[in-house]
Amino acid sequence: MAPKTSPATVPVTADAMAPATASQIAGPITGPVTSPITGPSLSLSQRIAPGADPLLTSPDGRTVARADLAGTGLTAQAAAALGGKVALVITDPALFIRALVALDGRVAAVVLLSYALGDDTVATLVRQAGCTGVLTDRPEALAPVVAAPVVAAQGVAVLAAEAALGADDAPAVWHPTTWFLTTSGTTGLPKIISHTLTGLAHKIRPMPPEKASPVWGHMIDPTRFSGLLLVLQALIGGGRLILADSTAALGAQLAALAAGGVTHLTGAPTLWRRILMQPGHQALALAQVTLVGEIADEGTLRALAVAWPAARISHIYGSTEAGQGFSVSDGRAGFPAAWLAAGPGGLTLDIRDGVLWLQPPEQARDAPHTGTGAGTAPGTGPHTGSRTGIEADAAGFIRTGDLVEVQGDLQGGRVIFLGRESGLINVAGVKVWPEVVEAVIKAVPGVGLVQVSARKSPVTGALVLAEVQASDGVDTAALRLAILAACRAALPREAVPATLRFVAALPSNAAGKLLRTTP
Amino acid sequence: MNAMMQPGVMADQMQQVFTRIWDQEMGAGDAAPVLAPVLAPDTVLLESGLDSMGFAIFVSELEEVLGYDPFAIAQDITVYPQTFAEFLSFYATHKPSGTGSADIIRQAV
Repeated sequence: MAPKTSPATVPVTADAMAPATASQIAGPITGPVTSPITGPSLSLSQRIAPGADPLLTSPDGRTVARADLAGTGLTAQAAAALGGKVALVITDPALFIRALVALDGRVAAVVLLSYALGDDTVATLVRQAGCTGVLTDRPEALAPVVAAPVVAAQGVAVLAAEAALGADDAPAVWHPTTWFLTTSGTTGLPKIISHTLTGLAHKIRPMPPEKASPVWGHMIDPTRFSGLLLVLQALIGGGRLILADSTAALGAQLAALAAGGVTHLTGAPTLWRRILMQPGHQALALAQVTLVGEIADEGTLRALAVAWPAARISHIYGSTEAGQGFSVSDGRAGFPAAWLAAGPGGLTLDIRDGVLWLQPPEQARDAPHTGTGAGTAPGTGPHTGSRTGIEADAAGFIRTGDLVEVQGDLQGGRVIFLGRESGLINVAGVKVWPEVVEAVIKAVPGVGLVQVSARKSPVTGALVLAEVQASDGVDTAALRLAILAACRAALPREAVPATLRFVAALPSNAAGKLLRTTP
Repeated sequence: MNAMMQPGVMADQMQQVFTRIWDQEMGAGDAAPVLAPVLAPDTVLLESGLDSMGFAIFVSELEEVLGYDPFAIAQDITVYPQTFAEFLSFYATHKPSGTGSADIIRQAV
């Protein structure tokens, strides 16, 4: 569980205590400043890049200008109600971004919870994280179940432009905000991992003025790691951001993005395959296609190159364990085997027993980390989230947990990702632990042995396959229904076996342990 | 190639599998489940009402029933099928020669 913090207990780093210039202290909303921020610890509102307006375009066509976003503040009344550790549960992506800008630098911590989480899950996470308040656009649903003050995010009573804020609305304390993000999983609740804006944005550089300003399309939940990085890239790096309505049909989303002139679009390979199967996708004039969150396969990359021959096509590998990652833009799956001799961006790569090990650049080592960590599948994007229980050697190499194989020689060959050594299954970006699904199935009367593994899917990358050895004399048709009912009741949809096979026997070793096959 | 040129048996099998997955994914537990739509040649599969998980399960079930996965067989997919007619054509084009009708029905649908 993440430690509970309050404004009074937030550590102020030496960096944050450095003298600030008058303009930095003034910021978009003037007022008493007890812990002025400077240098790389500028708040999000202070880091918004200059450029063309509007900065944000909402799914319904509403726009937000740069100055308005930078000047969005939290009213004193809302700040008092929300306290120091604020959970955000906001469906409207533009409202979510405004809330994030308003809170960063003004509260001790923000806990970014997906709008897709159920009300009860939100309530549990809010309690576990020790949130002092919830800012949401579904207050009616959350107020009865959440044990913290719930504040409606809509309206100027909460988030207001600078001009609308009264003299009493200035923030009492201005200090670095800890950002808590959740990871997906099937073990009941998502895990909460702490970040800082400095860590999240450390690789974002402002766009050179001579380059055409990108128009970023946004289709990913902004509370997820890759979705949040995209928001930060647009706000800090430059360009405009066109927000898709994730609840609309895919065709309508793509039409809105095309109408907005989107040039840069990011998504998981699963989303890209859906886009390729969607009539009208050719209306998007893309200069940059980016794949994140899952292993990018050669077939999808080739099809994307055919659909957008002029675009640069990149897939991102990220290791939560190492807090590092890299981008591959040569249009092929995996990465060049030559990188094992000289890694990208100062990284040093090594393969030991089929597992990728990664040594971060010297300046990125020993970064402070707190809280709990969890492994992720490749492609969640490079970042510096906190993590514990990570295996590292004396030289600083970190075990990524990603299984790889070298195809060809070390000069012209390729390193291909095979999956996770834990057997973790990535279904459309949702992590599924086979053991969790097996435990649910084993509890169903009539099940003898069960083995859960990944099955390749051309749509979602992988699906869950369950092979069951039924007890003698059991009606397998009835058992199938019972197993699926138990799984649907206990597991997220992605973890419910898409394929359920009854087998006469399952392979086991001499000790009787089931042999878990690698992907 | 359009759907009219495809063996009707494959179209029927696909419709049966689609309906079964629809009932399983969309109607589970509903008192008044919505009936699965009839797949016409110009039906865009991603707009048929099944979401991407449902569509992924539909494709994996087709592999169970038909005995092959054309997405794995096709070495170079440059254009993904969008309509039901294109989908049928894609499956017919990439059908392995050894996959006869006797092999196709591996599981009752």
